Amino acid sequence: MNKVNNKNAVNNLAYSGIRSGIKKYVMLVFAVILTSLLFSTMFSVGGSMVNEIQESTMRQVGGTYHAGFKYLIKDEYDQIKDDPKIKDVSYRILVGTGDNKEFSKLYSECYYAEDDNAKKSFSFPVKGKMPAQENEVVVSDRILQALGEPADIGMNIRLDLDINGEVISNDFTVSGYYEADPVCPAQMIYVSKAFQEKYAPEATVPYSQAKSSDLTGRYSVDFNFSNSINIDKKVEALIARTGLREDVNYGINWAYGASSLDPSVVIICGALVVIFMFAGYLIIYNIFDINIVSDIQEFGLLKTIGTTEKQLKKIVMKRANLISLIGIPVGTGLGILVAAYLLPIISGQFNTLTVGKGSLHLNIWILLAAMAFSYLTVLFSAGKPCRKAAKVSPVETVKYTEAFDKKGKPKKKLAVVILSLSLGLVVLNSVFGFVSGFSMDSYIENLIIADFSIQDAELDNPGARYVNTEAVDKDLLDELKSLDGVNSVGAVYLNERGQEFDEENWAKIEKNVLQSKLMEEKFTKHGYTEDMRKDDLEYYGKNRTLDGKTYGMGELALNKLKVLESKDGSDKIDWNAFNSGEYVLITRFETDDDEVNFLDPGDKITIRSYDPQYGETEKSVSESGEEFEYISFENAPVKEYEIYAVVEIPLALGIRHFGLFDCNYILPEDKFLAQNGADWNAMRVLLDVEDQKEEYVNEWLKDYTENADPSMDYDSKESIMEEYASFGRMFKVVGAVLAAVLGLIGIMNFANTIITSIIVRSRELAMLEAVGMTGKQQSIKLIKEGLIYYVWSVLVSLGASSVLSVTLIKALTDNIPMFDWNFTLVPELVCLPPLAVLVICIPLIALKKISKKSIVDRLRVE
Amino acid sequence: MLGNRTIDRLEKMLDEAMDGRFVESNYDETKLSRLESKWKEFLGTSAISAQNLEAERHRLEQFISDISHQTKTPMTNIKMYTELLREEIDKLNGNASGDIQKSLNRLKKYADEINRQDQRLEFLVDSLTKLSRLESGTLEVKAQRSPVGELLEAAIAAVKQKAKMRNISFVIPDPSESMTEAVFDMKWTTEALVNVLDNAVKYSPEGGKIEVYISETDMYVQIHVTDEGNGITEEDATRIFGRFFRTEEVQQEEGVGIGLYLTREILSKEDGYIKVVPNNKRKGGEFIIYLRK
Amino acid sequence: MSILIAEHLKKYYGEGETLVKALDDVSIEVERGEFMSIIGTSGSGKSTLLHMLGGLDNPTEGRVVIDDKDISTLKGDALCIFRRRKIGFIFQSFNLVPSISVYENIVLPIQLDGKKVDKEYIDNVIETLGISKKLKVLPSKLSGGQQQRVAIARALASKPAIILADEPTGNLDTKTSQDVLGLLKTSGKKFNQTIVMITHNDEIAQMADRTIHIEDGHIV
Repeated sequence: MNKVNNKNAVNNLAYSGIRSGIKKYVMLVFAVILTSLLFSTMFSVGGSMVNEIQESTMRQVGGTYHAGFKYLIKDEYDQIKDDPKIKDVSYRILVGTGDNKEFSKLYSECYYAEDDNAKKSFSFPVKGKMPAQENEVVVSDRILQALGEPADIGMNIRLDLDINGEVISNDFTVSGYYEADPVCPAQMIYVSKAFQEKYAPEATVPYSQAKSSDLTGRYSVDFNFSNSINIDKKVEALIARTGLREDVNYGINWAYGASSLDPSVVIICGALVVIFMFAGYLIIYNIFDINIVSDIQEFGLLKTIGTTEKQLKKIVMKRANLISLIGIPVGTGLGILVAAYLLPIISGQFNTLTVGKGSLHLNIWILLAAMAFSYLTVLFSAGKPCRKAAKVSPVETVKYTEAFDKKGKPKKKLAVVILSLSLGLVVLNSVFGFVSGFSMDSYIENLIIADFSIQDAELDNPGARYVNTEAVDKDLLDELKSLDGVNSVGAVYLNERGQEFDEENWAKIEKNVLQSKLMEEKFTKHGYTEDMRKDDLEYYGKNRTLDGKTYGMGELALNKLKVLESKDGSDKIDWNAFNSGEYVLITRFETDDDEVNFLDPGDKITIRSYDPQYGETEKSVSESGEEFEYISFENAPVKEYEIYAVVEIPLALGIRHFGLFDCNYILPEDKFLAQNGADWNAMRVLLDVEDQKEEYVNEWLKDYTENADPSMDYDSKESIMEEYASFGRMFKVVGAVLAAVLGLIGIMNFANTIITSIIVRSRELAMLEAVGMTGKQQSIKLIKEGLIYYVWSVLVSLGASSVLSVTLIKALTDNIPMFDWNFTLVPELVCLPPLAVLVICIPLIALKKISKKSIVDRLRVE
Repeated sequence: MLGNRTIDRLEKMLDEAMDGRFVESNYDETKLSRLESKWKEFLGTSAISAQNLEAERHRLEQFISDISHQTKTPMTNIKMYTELLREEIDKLNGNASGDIQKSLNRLKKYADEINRQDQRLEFLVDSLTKLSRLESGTLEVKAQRSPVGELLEAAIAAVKQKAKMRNISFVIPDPSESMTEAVFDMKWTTEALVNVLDNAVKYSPEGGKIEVYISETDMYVQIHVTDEGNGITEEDATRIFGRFFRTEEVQQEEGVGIGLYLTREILSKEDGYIKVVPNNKRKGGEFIIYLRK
Repeated sequence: MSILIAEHLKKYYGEGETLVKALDDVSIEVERGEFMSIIGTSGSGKSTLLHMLGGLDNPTEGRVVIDDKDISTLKGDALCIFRRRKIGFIFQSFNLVPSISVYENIVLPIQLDGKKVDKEYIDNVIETLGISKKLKVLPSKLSGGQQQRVAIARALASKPAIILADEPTGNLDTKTSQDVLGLLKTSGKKFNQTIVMITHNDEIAQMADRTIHIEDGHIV
């Protein structure tokens, strides 16, 4: 069917209307800019953070691929490589592991790899190329460093490679090197295809039919799907589809797991989206509505001359679109800038390990999503005014301007403006109420236990997978001890094997812990089902074991323990008595709400020795029927200790991996070593340093952790304080930005409503002036009207802030250890006087503006 | 600057004076006290002048009454003697010859004119008397809800005779229509309407038709009186209700130019008014009387 | 005694080629208690004249004296207060304040002046204008004629020296116009008010005691 072409006419009307009321639309564009600024900031920050977390995870994993199969043979590789649903398929073939003495601390793997595979595994050479000749090799800069070579190419190195249990020593020319990621534990050694074929020919027997140790010459095939959703299912589908053997080993890159999204983050983001949309809706709707009302005569006229409802809607939507077209890109751009400013502040607080920490990661989809939300807000907001415009009856148009001021109408407007103003105030008050509860001192005491603490870089990162709990070797320990200015050194050792109990103790534990309410609580918190609880308890009961760690601590560390109950009733541990070798310390069973003793001071427990000399290699058969070897300490000696005290281990001393029970023992350093072998290395070392030497020690540690061993890290009192101060700062900055934008929206909304209402009523005011209302009386009248908004906003926001403070903020602060809840309305009260000034000034300015026109002119305007 | 207390006192003094109950608060050496005394004195003299004014008005009323009363007897006498004069002329008329006959006819005409002038004088004195009483408030217009039909009936009855003489007919509203009520003083408003009708009769051509009908708005009952005369020019429309106004063309017609003025005054006493439709708007004359509902 | 005297009023807009003489040497006098109408076509300068008389606009030349006060000597708020006390306005478009009740509208000029409302007088005015049943409603709930009656009541309320009516029936139908004009006329008489009304309609103009014609800024 042919339609009349009226597009031009509609376009014309839509855009000429904007031209004639340009000021109103500038306001609208500004409102849209603010709204999309909020969205784009949040999305950019959120996206960048997710990206950062993801990237950091990928680097720990060692690749960006969605998934990969392991231990394939060529036939199997061919079977899947052309599957249409996967892409970026690449492979590497295992040759062996690096076995040089020089880098015994580094775990290295030797492969032939396709270029793509190396690229996506963060190990493509930054300088040089992948090996082509048999004697060419690509290694990481850390391996070069360990070999005492500079980070360069072209020189010869000798590598000992363990290929299928056989160590082969070869000279290689370095054709390229890559920069090792401190996060990634595995160092890659890439050899050429020729080398691989010569020394580690491709396996031909499927892995399921081969010995489990027969890994050499097998394909590791990595690939991507079209998207990262439900990778697990997709891999299973892929196996089924391609007919790959069902027991194939596959790995999924858990960087893409949905589990990396903390539900509380989801809730906060959702809440922010809602708040932003609401704030945006309030102002855009309001301005649109005001515009429609002031344009109503125009619409009535258009309708009179035959414009259909549909066309009127089109005109309004055209305007909305044009506004979006200008406002959203600008707002999004500004939002990106704000995000760029905020990101370093925010991401500094997250224990992600990406090198480019706090850098902006702009993903077109994320920006499109932010834009979509902004546009959605505009559409939502324009919807009702749009329908209103369409419903205009040509006859009523003259009356409409009057109806606009009827009792019902301003009430709604009042509500919109009050909500808008209150929103900013409430967010401001809540954020600053929350931040003001930030009490670093009480929390930080728990963290600062010595001047310095040296440990594995990943140790205090709860998100880390690979944590070296024996990072501080004897050499380093000796070096630290001999460091100039070091008063005392306190090492902390860790053995993560669980605890075992005799019948008597077990009965006590069952009574104290297992059958207590706290246990129920703990199970619930950890998401145990009824069946799981039963199974678990049964298992523990059968073996009389609990998970727990055994620490060894030097005097310096020991003094930082918090003594809860002790044999002699003192709250200090007498080092000499404790160090006698008869005593052990024990922690409590803790839940969020309460804590209870496993055993009491004076009880006797036994600790098994895990000295490697007592280890016996034994064979066992796994569930899959495979035979494997393990080291058993079943026959290792067991020593009895008496519990000296019940203590609490400060976070900064222990390890942040928690078990269900965490029944932890603490032995004196020497006794721990005696128990577990003298070769056991310390998890962390605390240093107490002369004040004047702090700077020097700091420099030394900095140099050591940056250059000598990047896998190590250290904390200083200052750095911790700085870290936590910046944590508080993050909330302040983010909160301030949020409150500022929302506040700006609120004030804009107020200003716009008041100014428009004054302009709309300029005739009414002129008329009042004509019957003798002086300028002063008009000002007072308008200020009074403004104050109604103000008073309501104050009441609503104070009410809402109070409610939020005792509910949400209290709940939040209760959950975050470094925050104390205290009820405050001060941030809001501080904002009220300046707001009052605005509330008074805005009407006065508007009045002054309209007063420039003579009364006669204003009276004439119909 | 005056203290607020003083201003308040001054305002109170004025308010009391307006209500006519001002007394001096106390006597002391303050300027305010002196002012109060002066104020009292001023009010006193004002009251005296008001009383004088009242007495003056009373005297005027007496005077008008006297004129009205004292002119009545001579006018009646003039009427009587004119009648006698006419009778004598009639007697002579039968047997008089040529010239005398002519002379007698002229005499008769003179007598008629004397009679008419006497009637005018009588009407004038009557109207002026009423007017002065109306204006001085001696006679009160007591407006109350009354049926408009009754008003029409009474007024038309009063001019019927005169109309018949000139062969003028009335078209009057259906009795059901005249059930309408308005707020007016029956006696005075009849007088007012009679004046308008009288006017219509006067300016209607011989054998003409006068139509009276009623219409209503939210606030008023309108009595329209239309005739087939020449009507009033737009120029005269606002002047016609002035005292002693008569249009140039009707200068010769009977009338003293006070009837419409009286009508307007009566109507305005009962919140009504009268309006004329000028002859550029319609053919013939039309008056509309507005009575408050 | 003249309550209003306008002498040689001139109002020019623009200059040179574009000079418009909205009013060119207009002089009028209005007696106390008089109901005068000024009739003229649109663009004749009648509105400009009324604005001058009401102190809403300043004349280029000439002066306006109301109740013995030369209003050209008044500026800003003083002029505003003068208007409130001495002039009652009735506009074509009623110009009632939409957000307050009819009664509040009527007494607005009095309250603006901080004066006590003369209850008896106001009741009389309200009764005369037939709006006693509508006092509590908002103006928007009234018909045009009723709104204009309220406007008349407002103009009368402060017992001004003069009431200026600008096409008071311009937005009303014929029948309602009659009511409004009748009430303006009768209430003006009753409360002894001086009224100056401008209109383009000669029939309406005839309601007045006196009519003057204005054309091209001149009185004819």
